[in-house]
Amino acid sequence: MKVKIVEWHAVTTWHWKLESSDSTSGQTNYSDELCGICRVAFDGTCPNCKYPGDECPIVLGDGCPHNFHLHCILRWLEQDSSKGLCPMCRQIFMPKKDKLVNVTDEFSNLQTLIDGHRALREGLHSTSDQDFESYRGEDLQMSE
Amino acid sequence: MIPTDHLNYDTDVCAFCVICSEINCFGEFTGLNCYSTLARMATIPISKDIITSIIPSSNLSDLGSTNGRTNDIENDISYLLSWLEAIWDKKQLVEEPTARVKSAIRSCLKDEYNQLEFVKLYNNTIRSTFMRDLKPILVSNNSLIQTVTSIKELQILNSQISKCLGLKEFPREVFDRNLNTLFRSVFSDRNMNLYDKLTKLLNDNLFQSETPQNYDTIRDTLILLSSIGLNEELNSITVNIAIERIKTYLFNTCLGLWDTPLLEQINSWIRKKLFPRFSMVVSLSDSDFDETYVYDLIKIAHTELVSLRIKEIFDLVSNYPSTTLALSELHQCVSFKSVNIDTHSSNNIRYNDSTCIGLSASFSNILNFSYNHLDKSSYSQAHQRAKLVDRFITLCNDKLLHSGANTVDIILCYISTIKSFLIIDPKGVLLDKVVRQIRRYLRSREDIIVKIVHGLLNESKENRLIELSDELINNRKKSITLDDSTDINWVPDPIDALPDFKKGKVTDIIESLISIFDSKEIFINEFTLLFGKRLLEIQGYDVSHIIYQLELLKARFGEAEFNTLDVMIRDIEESKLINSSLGNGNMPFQISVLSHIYWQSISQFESAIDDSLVVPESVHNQFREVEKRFSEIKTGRCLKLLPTLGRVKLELEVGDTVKPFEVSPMEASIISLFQDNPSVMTVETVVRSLQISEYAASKGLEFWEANNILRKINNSTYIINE
Ligand SMILES: [Zn+2]
Ligand SMILES: [Zn+2]
Ligand SMILES: [Zn+2]
Repeated sequence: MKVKIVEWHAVTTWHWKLESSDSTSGQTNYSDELCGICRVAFDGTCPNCKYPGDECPIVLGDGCPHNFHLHCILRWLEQDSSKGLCPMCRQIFMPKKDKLVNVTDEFSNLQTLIDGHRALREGLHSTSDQDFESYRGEDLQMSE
Repeated sequence: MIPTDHLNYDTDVCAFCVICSEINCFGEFTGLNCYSTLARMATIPISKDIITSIIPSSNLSDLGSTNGRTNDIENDISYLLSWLEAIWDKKQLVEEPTARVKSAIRSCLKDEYNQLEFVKLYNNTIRSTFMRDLKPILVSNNSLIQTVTSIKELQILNSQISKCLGLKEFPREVFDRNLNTLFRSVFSDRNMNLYDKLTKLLNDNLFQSETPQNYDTIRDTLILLSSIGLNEELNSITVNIAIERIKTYLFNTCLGLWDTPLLEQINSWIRKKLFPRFSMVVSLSDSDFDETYVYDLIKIAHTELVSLRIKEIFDLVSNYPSTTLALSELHQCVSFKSVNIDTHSSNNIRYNDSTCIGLSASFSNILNFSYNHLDKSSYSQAHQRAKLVDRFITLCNDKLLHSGANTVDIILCYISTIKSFLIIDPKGVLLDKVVRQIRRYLRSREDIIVKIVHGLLNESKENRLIELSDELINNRKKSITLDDSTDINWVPDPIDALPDFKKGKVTDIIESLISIFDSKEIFINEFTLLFGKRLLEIQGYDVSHIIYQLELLKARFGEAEFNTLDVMIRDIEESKLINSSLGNGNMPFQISVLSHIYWQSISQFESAIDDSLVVPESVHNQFREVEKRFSEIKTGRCLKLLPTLGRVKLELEVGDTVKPFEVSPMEASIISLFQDNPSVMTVETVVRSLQISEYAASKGLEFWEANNILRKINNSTYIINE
C-alpha cells in the first residue's frame, strides 16, 4: 500500500519570541508572559488595539529583561515623569534594536522619546531640535 | 277539564298546614283563629259565618236598618254563597247570576273595604282547595299544554266571577294577583319540571325544527305563562335554549376547523335562523324586547366560540400558521370588536364604544334572564382570558415540557406560541403570561444554546429552525409590532397585569430566544466555537460567508461582542497571505496561522489531548521549512504546530486501485505508519510511534478498518486489507 499526501492543511499558532532567562536550550519560549504595563499577554494586544501581531508589536528590553507592547511602552515614555526608565526595574529603558519588527513610524517615535529622556537626564539644555538630532547617532552607538 | 271526583275527596289533614307550607298566610287568617273551620271549607268554600264575620256590625247599623234588616243580610249572604258553591261544584259559570244574587252582591260588597276583605277570604278559601285538590293533578300532568289549558279555564272562570262580583279596581287586582300566585305555584313546583317541559316543547316545535310548528299553541302557552307572572322564567328558559343551540351549532361547524372564516357564517346563522325563533318567544315574554337582542345573541355565540377555542388552544398554537384565521377570529372575539357588524344600524352604537366596558355591560339584558346554573362569570372577558392562559399552560406542561420532548420541537412551539398569542392579543399581555413557563423550561435544557445557534446559522433546508436563520438574514427586528399606539390610554386588565410585564422582550423571535438567558455571553461563546470549527475546516481560506453571517449577528447582538471572532477571521485571511508569500502554491503543505489567545476555546477543545502527535516525517520537515520562512517574514515571531488540527487529503494505493480520502491528521499519521513499516501493527506500536493515547490510536485504527483499508486480526493487531 502506498500513501500519497495530496494536501496537508496544518494548523499552527504564532508566538512572539521572548528572551527567556534560561534560553540555553535554544528552544522558543511559548509561555503566556504578560506585558508588565497592561498585564495582557504579549500574544494578545495592548488595550488600544484590536488585532494582535503586526499591528500591535512588542519591544524587548535591552539591558533589563523587561518586554512590553510597543504601544504600552510608548505611552509610558511619553510621560515626563517616566524619565525614560523601565517601569519595572527603573533602569534606563533600551529596546533591542535587532529584534525590532519592520521599522515603522511608531518605532522611530520610540527612539525619539528615548533620546529626549536621555537628553534631559544628562542635563543638556537641549532646547533645539538640532541638539536632539546630534545625539541620536551617539545614542544608538552607546546602547551597543 | 279537571275530573270532578278528585275535587270532592275529603280528608282529615288540616288544609291550613298545606296552605301554610306553601304560602305564608298567617297574617290574613288571624281573625278567623279556627283551623278546623278552614278544614271544613275544603268542600264548601265560604260559610255564612265567615261572610258575616267580615261585615262589621257598625257598618250594617250605619245603613240605618231595623232588626229585620239583619235577616236580609243573612239572606243576601246565603244567596251569594249558594251561587258561588254552584259555580265551584261545576267548575263553570252555568248562568248569569239572578237578580236576587245581584242584589245580594250589591248589598254585601257595596264598598272597597268589603270587597277587599271578601276577596282575601275568597282567595284563601279557594287556595286550600286548589293546593290540596287541584295542584297535585295539574303538577303531575305530563302534558304541559293540558296543564296550561286547565289553568286557562280556571283563569276564565275566575275572571267571570270577579266580573259578576263587580269588583272595583284594587280588589280586582288583589283577586287576580292571588290567583296568579296559586297558578304560579303549579309551574314552580319541582315535580312540574317546567324547565324541561317547556324546553322540550320549544325545541321540538321551534328551535330544532326546520319550520316553526304549532305556533298558535305555543303562543297561547307562552302568553298564559307570561300573564301569570312567569316572564323571568320564560326568558331564562329561552336564553338557555338559545345558548344550547349556539353551542351545538358551533360544535358542529367550528370544531377543528381553523382555516376558514367562521364569524360571518355564525352571525348570519344567528340572524337568519336563531334570532327569528328566539324573538317569537321573547317578544311575548319580555316587554323590553327589541332587535338589539340579536347582538346579544351574537355576543354569546362569540363568547361560546372562545370557550370552544380555549379547549383547542394547544392544537391551534402547534398548528400555526395554518390556524392563523382561527386565531385572528379568536382575537376579534376576545377584544370586544366582534359585534359591530351592522354599520347601518343605529343599535350597534352601544357596541362600538364598548372597548372599555366589561362584557357584563353589553349583556345587561339577555344574560340576566338565565338561571343560576349558567355560570355568568364565564362570560366575562377577564375570566376567559385567564382560562385561555391556564389551559394553554396546562397543556404545554402535559404535552411539551417534559424530558421526552425534543429541544427543537420545544423551540418551534415556543415560536408558534409567540406568533399565535400575538394574534390573539396583540398587546402581548397574554403572551407574556404563557411564555414564562416555556422560557423557564428552555433555560433548563442543556442543548438549547447549540440548537439556537445552529438554527440561526444553518441556512440549509435541513434546519428545522430555518425561521431563525431567515429572520436573522432579514433582520426584521421590528417585524412584529404591538398595537399600543392605537390606544394610548390602554391599561392592562388587573387580572392580566404583571409586575414585570415587558412587551418588547418577547415580540421579536430571535430576541425572545436570546432573552431567555440573562447574558448574551453564552451565545457569543457558542458562536465563537461554531465559527472557529468552521474556520478551521474552510477550504481555500474563503471566509466571505462567515463574514456575512457575522455581520448579521453583529446587527443583532452588537458589534463589540464579536472582537474575538473578528481576530479569528482575520487570522484565516492572513493565513492565506502568509501561505502565498511563503511560495507554497505548489506545495501540498498549507497552514492556518492562529492567534492562539483568541482560539483558546477551539484549541483546548480539540487538541488538549494528543497534542504530542508525531506527524509523518515529510510533513514535519515541511513544517520546519515553513516555520523558518515565517520567522523571516514576521520578525520576532515563531510558529507552533497543533498536530491534531487540520485536514489531510490522501490517496491510498491499494493493489490496483487508488482511493481518495479526506481525514484528520491523526488518521493520516496512523495510516502512514503502515506504509513505512511491516504491514501488521499493534495498537501499542501505534501509540509508541505517534506518542498518542491508546484511545486515539484505537479510534484511528477503527476508522481505517471501517473503511476497509485495515483488517483486525486480533484484539489489538491490524493488518493492511489487501
Ligand atoms: Zn501591554
Ligand atoms: Zn497596541
Ligand atoms: Zn526592566
